[in-house]
Amino acid sequence: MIGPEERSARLITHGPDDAEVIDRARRDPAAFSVLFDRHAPALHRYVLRRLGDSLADDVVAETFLTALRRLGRYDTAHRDARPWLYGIAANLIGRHRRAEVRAYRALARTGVDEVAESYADRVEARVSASALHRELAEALAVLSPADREVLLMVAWADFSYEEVARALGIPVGTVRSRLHRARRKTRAALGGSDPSAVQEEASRG
Amino acid sequence: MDDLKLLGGLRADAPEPSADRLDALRTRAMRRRRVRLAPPLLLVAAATGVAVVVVGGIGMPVPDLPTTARPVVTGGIRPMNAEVVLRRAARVAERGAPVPAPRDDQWVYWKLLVQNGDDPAPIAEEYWTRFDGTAQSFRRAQGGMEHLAIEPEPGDDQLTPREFAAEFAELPTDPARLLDHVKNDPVWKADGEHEDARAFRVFSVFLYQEVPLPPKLRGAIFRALAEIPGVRVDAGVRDAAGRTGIGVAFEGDVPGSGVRRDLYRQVTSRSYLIFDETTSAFLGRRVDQLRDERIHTIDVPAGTRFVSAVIADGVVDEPGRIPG
Repeated sequence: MIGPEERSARLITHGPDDAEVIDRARRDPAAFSVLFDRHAPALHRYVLRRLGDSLADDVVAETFLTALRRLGRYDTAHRDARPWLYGIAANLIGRHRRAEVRAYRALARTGVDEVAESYADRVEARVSASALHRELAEALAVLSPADREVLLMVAWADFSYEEVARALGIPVGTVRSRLHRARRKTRAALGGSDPSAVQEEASRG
Repeated sequence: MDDLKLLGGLRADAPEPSADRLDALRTRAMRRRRVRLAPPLLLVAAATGVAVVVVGGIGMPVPDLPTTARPVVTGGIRPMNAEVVLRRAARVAERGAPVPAPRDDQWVYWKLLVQNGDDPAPIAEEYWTRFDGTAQSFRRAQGGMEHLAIEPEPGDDQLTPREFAAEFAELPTDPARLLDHVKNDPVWKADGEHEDARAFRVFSVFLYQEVPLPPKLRGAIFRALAEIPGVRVDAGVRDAAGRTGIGVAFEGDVPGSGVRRDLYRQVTSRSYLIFDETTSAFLGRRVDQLRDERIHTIDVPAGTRFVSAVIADGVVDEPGRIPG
């Protein structure tokens, strides 16, 4: 996973930022594929993590097709296109909400994660999830779609509040309150458990 | 306990896609659709870092591309008098047959040959787009058919075939009024773009899509192109099917032209619309990288090219059928 530090380093070292690439892509054949090559790998992993292997290609392809269609409306004042792309992806992921929640629920109840199985090696796949992961899945299953979106953009895409706000087109204050609520519910699901027990579980993986 | 950190551990082993998978996905994600702003896509071998196979000018292989900047030999291409050539094309276009009016449930068929970046040979792409724009089917080379439902989104840069046809029916066929219209129509505006560049871009979009242009409008487009400063016309430009024709390119030297130039003000790539010299029919597009250039982390060597050819079009009742 790419941390925020690496991300900003990447932007600094490699010349034209996304806004410049998009500006060029409006006329220049080569430029849009630069945007794809820059963001598709991490976006694919993010979608894979939420919906599993079978839907990841479709969602990512459709995200870039939609982005290409909306190139003219991109506000080049925003130099990083990730929030824009993940916002488009969030809409598309939302079309598969039932499947996503069904997988969290199954993981919570049975310890079998069909999403992890979809990308993992068959041999290791059948290892059932830890109690910790089952509790986290339970929390994700019961969150409202809006709260879950904010929580996972922060936890899995390393987005800042501002980036989430831009991705979802909501005020930063709303991001903060949704994240607060989502984290409170997550802690409650983990909870009853003794924090030190959870720590131990986490370190065991 | 940090719940965010714990959550970060869930499905943390999810991998990024392999290079092969990403390549296939890139092709899918960049399918041509009727996009107002999108140019043809020149896909360079970015992810793999593999050297790009280059063909200089007209079908002449250039052995071992040097790393120093060197203009591509564009043999066989002859600069022409733009005004004379475009006026003649306009007269031929204006005598064309009226265009068909498809029903909403019919499909507009479009077959292209596309040779892109490092493709060793042109690849066929076939598109069936429902006239009302709600669905598209697609086949690449000998691959299977892919179907895609398209949800209309207000404010899209994309136009459905029906919307294109409606726009074509309404556009002025007086060249000066047409030019004025495309320069100032807010739907085509992009920030920082010079109006001459915009006019050329809009005409390129009109010409390079599957809905046929009415004869009067086609004529007016040729006449309007002749009025845009910086439009150049070359004879002997070859499309992906090997046909040579008249190449029309915009190289206006104004701020916001979108024309990339090197430090010596030399154009770094040339993007043609290609027309049949006799019938004035639209043949395809050709983008030639004339000089080495670095775009983001990708080196695009001189000689890299995108070439396409429209080799069939028409209206059919079902996706998968071919007009004829």
